[in-house]
Amino acid sequence: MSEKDLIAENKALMNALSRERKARKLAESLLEERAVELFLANRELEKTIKTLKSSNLQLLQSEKMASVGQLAAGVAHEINNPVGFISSNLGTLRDYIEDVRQVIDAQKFSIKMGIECTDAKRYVEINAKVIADLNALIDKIDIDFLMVDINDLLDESIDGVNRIRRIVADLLDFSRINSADYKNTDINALLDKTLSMAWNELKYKTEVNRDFGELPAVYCNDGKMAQVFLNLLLNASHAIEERGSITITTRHIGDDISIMIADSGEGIPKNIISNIFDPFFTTKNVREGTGLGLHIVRSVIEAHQGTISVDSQVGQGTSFIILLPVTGLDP
Amino acid sequence: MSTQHNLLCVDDESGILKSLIRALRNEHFNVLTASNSGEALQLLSENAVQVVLVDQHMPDIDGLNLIKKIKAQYPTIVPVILSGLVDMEYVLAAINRVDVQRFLAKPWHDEELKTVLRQCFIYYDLAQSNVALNDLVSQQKKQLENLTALLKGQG
Repeated sequence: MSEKDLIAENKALMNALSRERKARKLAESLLEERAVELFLANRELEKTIKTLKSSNLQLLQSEKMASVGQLAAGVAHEINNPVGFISSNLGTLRDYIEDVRQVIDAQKFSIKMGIECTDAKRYVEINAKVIADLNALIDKIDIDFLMVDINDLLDESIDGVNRIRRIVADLLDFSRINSADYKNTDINALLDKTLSMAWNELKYKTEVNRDFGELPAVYCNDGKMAQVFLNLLLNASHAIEERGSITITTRHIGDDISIMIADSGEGIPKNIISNIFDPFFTTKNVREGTGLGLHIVRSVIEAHQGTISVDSQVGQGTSFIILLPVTGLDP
Repeated sequence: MSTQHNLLCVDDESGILKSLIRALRNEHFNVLTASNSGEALQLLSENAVQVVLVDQHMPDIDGLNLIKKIKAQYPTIVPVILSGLVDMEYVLAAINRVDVQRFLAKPWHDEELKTVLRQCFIYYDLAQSNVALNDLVSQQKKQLENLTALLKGQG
């Protein structure tokens, strides 16, 4: 190769090099621009996510408020009944006590006179009048009826107060579901504990079969979960007219555990089965149920990201099946 | 109006019925109680009832529908609603659609309850005597017409 050629080639190479440098510079500046764009876009996205999260929270909150509103209307109705008769009963009781006080005052007067009167003849005279007046008073106010009815009145009013207490306790339970203690829990042991709590209710008419599979520890709120089991067990027992069985089956299936509580009771008619989880839906009479039990059960299960389903045949029995993820929900 | 006054209270809750019997024990009317619509209609067929006090919410029937049923058979009965939940829409429906005379809320005040029920019996009696007086007027008018015709015939 000649010197001239070499120089020409060198020049060409230099040109190529400078072109490449230019191109690289351009590419670098483009890259930098892109990076800035990406950075900005990313920041925008993060902002959007934040907004979405907070509006989701607001949505959840408003949904909660809506259900609270629904609950409040129901609660007002449930509580106004017992408050109605308790307050009326108390008014009546005050009148009754006024009547009883009159009898006591008349008797006090008779006793006082017996002690203070020294003239025997006069005493007999006055005492006869006092006793006649007292008898007339006792007849007028019908004291025998009064004494019996005071007992009834108090019993009924105490029943009413207990009903209000139960409604309020159920409500409080319902509102506490979201802020509770979660821990790794042995569900089989918890079921046994709940069974012994409910034993007084169950022992007379039910045979309880336990079919417990091996379960991993489940991350859950054990107090709430115990309440779920208790509600279901008591419902099962109430569904059994005279004698029957309750079968509790637990299994570990993949990432979930399943708990089935099945009874041989009267079953749930098809036309109401879709309502059983609604707040204040109850087939029991007012003294026995508030209609919040299954509603709370479902709320607890859903707070644990689980599901509950029901299967029932009238005359054959009802099974509730709970599926819970083993990991549970971090509160 | 010397007929015996009877009040019928209809509520599915025995605690309410018993407290009503107690609260109204010294009133000048009898208190009958029914815990469902069947019992209520049965008692109405056996007794001359002038005023009914009906719970809004019962498992077998809604209070307004029960009153509609009662009014269809006994149009002169004066109905009163006793309601655990006072919801504007319901009150309006009760007054405008079913012609409920009075609306009481649970928990109620005994004195208010007594006043309302007394007024309802007075209302019933006034309506009845109004009907009776109207009858009398039309009867007397007829007599008068007959007499006028007689007089004209003589003249």
